[in-house]
Amino acid sequence: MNSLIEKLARRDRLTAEEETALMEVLGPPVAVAAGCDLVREGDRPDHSTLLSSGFVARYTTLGDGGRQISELNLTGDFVDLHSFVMKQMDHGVVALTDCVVRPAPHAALRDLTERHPHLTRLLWLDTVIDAAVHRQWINSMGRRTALAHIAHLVCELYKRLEVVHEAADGAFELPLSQAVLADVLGLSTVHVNRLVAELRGSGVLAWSQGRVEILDWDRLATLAEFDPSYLRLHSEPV
Amino acid sequence: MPRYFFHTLQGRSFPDRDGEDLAGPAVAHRAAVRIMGEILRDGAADFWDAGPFSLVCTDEAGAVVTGLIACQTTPEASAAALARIQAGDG
Repeated sequence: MNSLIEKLARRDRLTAEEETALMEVLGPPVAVAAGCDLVREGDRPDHSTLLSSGFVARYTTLGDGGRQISELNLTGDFVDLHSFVMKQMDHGVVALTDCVVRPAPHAALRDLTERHPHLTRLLWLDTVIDAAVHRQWINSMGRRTALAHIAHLVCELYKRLEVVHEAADGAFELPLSQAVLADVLGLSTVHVNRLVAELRGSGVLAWSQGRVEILDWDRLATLAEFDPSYLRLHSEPV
Repeated sequence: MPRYFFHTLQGRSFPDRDGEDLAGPAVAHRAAVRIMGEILRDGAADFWDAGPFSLVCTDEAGAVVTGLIACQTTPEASAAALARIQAGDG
């Protein structure tokens, strides 16, 4: 099944007609190589992008050349549904790994939203959850310790990847470099390396070769003060 | 760009094997302070338990670029600093 539909269906029931309508919006799959920009800062895209597989980051580049990643997108995420209504993008979107994406032309999305109000509310919910994720990231950057911050990120990625069957039994692939993680966490790579070593050393997880294995979920979640309710993973009519 | 490494020591040693590509020694000096600040911010408890925090920045050849240390000062040094603060020095 399509991972977007799977993800939306986790939050509310979709009719067969809605599933078909959503699939019809999507163009054919396109391969994007790691490191390529899907959207550049300031672009005015004429389509949004569904991420069929891979890891993508939304980022902002700063005057001194530094980069802050403000969101990670995973399989099944609508990467820039924002551009459908924002028009001009305030941030860039880069493929962190080799990805497969499917374009959703804005004209087709407009037609979809006019014909399917319930689907529209579900897509709205999707961007609202993006905002909830941002709030958690702000909390982490501003007030959590760096160790709790990275623990929270691991918990979040696990829960999000689990929905699209890319995490199970506490383990998932996380093919991101320490430099990318540093841009996600707003920390130096040196500090990120220390934190990963600390998490490993305390026995809550194993992390090597781009694979994370959570050995003690309860301890990790307690350290992170992780409450998954912001990911809205339960089914309730919208 | 040359690569600089930031090794840290506080109770345990953390050699930096990845390093960071930076424009030159002046940028590496600033990065050293930023990294130290970042780690100290989170290690408030460790600081008092594990003792002085040392950071050594090296270049690709392993030569020392700069080193920093954060530790508790002696009561005498603290008193001298306080006197200067209260005198509005600097």
